[in-house]
Amino acid sequence: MQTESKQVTKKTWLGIIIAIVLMAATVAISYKMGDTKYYVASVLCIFYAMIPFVMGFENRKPMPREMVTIAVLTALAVISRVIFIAIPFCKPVIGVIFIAGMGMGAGSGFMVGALTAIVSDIICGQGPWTPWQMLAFGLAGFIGGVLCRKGLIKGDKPLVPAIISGLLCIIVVGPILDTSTLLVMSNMVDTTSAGAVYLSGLPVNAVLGAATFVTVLVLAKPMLEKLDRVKVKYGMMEEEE
Amino acid sequence: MAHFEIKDLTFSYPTAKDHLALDHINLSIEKGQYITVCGKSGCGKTTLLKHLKSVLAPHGKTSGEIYFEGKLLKDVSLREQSSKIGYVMQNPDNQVVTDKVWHELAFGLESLGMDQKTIRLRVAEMASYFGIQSWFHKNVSDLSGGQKQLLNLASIMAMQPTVLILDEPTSQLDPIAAADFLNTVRKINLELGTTIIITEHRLEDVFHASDRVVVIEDGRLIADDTPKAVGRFLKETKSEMFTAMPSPVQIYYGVDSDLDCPLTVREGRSWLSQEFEGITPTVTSIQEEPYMDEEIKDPAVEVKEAWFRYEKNLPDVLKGVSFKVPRQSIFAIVGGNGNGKSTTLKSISNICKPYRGQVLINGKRVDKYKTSELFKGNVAMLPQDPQSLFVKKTVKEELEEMKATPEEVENVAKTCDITHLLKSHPYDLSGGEQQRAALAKILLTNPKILLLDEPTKGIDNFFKLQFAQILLKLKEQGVTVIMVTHDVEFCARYADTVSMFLDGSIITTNTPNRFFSRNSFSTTAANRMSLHLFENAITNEDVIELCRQNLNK
Amino acid sequence: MDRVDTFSTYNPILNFAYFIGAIGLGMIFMHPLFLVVNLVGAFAYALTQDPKKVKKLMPLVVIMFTLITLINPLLNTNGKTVLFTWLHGRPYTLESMCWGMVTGSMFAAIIIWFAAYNHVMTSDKFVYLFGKVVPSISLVLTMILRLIPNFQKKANQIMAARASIGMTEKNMENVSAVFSALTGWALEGGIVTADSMRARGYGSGNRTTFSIYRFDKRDVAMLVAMFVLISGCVVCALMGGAEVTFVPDIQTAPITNMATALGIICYGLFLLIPIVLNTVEALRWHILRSRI
Repeated sequence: MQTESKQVTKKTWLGIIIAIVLMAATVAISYKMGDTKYYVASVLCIFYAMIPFVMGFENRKPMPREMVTIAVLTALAVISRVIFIAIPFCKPVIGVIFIAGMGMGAGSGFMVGALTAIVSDIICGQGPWTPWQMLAFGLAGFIGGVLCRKGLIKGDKPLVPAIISGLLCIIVVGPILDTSTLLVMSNMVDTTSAGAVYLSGLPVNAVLGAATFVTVLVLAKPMLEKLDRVKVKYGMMEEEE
Repeated sequence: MAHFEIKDLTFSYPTAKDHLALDHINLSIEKGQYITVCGKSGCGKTTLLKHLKSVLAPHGKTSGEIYFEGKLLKDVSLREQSSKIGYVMQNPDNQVVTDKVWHELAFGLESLGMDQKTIRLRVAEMASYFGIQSWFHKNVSDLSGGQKQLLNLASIMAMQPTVLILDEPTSQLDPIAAADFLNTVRKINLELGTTIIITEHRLEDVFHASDRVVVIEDGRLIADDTPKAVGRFLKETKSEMFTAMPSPVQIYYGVDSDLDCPLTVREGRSWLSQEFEGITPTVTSIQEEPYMDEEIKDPAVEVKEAWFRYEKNLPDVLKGVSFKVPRQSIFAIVGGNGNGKSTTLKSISNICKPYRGQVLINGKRVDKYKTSELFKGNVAMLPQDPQSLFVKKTVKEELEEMKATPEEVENVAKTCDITHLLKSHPYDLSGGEQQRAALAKILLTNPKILLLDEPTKGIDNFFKLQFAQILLKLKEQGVTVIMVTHDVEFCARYADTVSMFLDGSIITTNTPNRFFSRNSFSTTAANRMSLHLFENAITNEDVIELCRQNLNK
Repeated sequence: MDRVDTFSTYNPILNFAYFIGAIGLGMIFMHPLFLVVNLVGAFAYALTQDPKKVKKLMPLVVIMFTLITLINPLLNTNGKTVLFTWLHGRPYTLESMCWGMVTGSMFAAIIIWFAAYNHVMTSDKFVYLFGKVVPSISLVLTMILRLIPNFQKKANQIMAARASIGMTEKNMENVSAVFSALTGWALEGGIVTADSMRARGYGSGNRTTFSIYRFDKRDVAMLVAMFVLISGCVVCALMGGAEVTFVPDIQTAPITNMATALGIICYGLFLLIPIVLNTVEALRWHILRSRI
């Protein structure tokens, strides 16, 4: 199931250009308005960053099978937390998103991640953290997809992807989530306040990283096998068209 | 002009190139007809139906032509096919796409690109025709299986199809919801003139309504005629399909009558009355063993006034359930939906723990067993949906998950008749095969007490027979079987004891013979048909036997 | 019983625009007067919806407010009024504490606004909004919302089925087997769902989006009103009517400033829209009933 096709790259590039222009404009305006509007400006930037993905998805007119698979994987990621609740400290959500990215490709991986954040928050309550969560989760899926596409990680050797996904939590996902805390709670972003927030977030992110490591280690193989099987089944159905 | 014209359709799957899944099928379906397609699981009925809608047609080698309303089907645009050819599938859950009832009704119309106003009108119309206004705003997940399937039907009818194809639409429903659903289909056929093409296990409910019955055997069309003629044909050719015929047909041919063949219980009754005109039956009952609850000594399972509720503030589900299950027997519990039958099974496997009363397994309280002790060699439960047990890539790996030796795997595969399926993916098996694979998996715990939750759901007659043979074999080996079921025909034939469950407790327990002969609604078709003549004939064989004795045939 | 919130019966676009406006403006306006208006608006609306939920949130709000107020001066040493010094002469200033208070109240207001937002913006409204802009993603979203309860039920069935053959352990091995079984079941079911979509014409050409929400005249009127009020706020912000500085000393734009006055009035009216609607509706019912 190829998620990114060549025809749409033009439009995706257009999306990226629009996003960059908008970002620049927002940063310029917010700079002019003074230095206390970080949050609004940053949230706008996050939305711009998602434009290429969203446009890419809408424009390629996704086939039902792709939409259903994204929906299924997202729903699985959302409820994985409930299923693993018996295991202390185990938050498998990012791990599941990472695996989804590995199986579906970068673009769909991003969609699974961002949608997981939206849906979790629709259920548990949205808040100022929602856009940040969308970005952080989306990136987890995106990176999983990119690395797998490049052949750097493979589903049948789960140790490497598990380590990478664990580090990803500590270096990328966790800090992005912390940034939202920083921007909501502090008006003046400087090295001291930033340092304090990121440092205090480190132990939490380390636990998250460990949980993600274990999740990918255990689930990558069976989940990707099941995904592959479905892809083959779809392939048989679609070939004739 | 025929509605559908199938000419010399031949098809084979890429995985089995030598085997023709459809073998030179010729079939013509007129507008407004009600056609029943029957055949064993895996005979090719579903493959045939799927060919009638291009987007669903399976991949493989196809030859022959299909015409829809005079045009080649592949030349009919996707959009026209989407709207004119409605297709209802087996599983009520997976067909639903959106989360709200109103959205689901509108889904197809959205895909056809209709405007708000038209969609609003059509959706409103469907909601009132199918009587679903009261759940219009509900979440789909709050609906029962029957309601979901009705919603699937309604959301397809909203697109105003001229032909409705239904692939075993009621196999996942309980008998009451199934009858409701099939009545609605009948109503659509009669009131709107929509052509119906249906496959069904429950032939009792569709056979008499059909204009024509098509029988498929191993990819070939072996019969295509009126229901009565098909009954005669199957009898004459000694086809296996005959055992799937409705009870009145089977009894009619068992008795060897010169009168016209009955299709429904009502026709069956008057046919029997005609046969017995002027004859007073001398033998009116079948010999039977008396059943006395008090006499059971050393029961395998005894439940003593068990009370249970799922949460403190919810109503009681079990309200003083009491019964004894004799060792080495098949014990069936029947009764309506959602009144605690499955919970009773769960209390025996100690998953639901009664807050009052006791459950004794081999005379010892179930909560005194250690988990390892209880589920190793004592109790095991086959879930309603066998897929709940599947984790692995092949059936063999599933069995190995139970930490069994190769020898044990081989033996259990033989018992359950799945040796040829060991290498298959569990999800590639048919419903009946999945059932047996799941049974094999739980048999590896060597249970002495086997709990079955709706074991015949979604399984056709042949697989039911096969499954029953396995149960009888296990019983012989010393296993006690307790099953919860809606399938009265299955109970009448194979159970040793039947209990009626109602409103949280067991109302009555008896042998199938006495049990069913005292009911007039929840009993077998054979019993309902012969009630006015015989006291306790509950299976087709009983009725045939008594007729023979009395009519000297 | 749930009180009827008239505002939430307006078109979801208006609901969403209102909250974007309320929360967005709340993040821009740091002026103490604006903050007071913001807090009053947030609490007033949330309390009319669900007082219990507000009560539940209060401890969090109070603790966060206090923490932010007290911690800000520790991280941020600017300001001329030094209250005391700590850690080798690091100053703890009044101005910085005031800034902390402002941030804390802003935080409190955001929490309360989101509580109100979550009450009004139910999942189907959210799906409707998405459907307007990104129809495919919106459809995926409804599919997810439909799958989640399904999966939950199936997960419980799988756990019960496994428990009934003795696999009751709550360890990683068993739990991930449950999840793996669920994944298999879910993906296989997805094939049927995709078939069902195609069978009902998905992808056969142009697609429309149906919804049960309408855009009536009252929605248009409300949209205009909201636009005017927000414009007033923006004009005020651009003219510096909400300006406030904390370092080196506290300076706020005075209320006598034309821009500030305009801003306060527009902002206040905007935030009070739902309350006003509810009151008018209540009065109307009262009058109708008294006529009977």
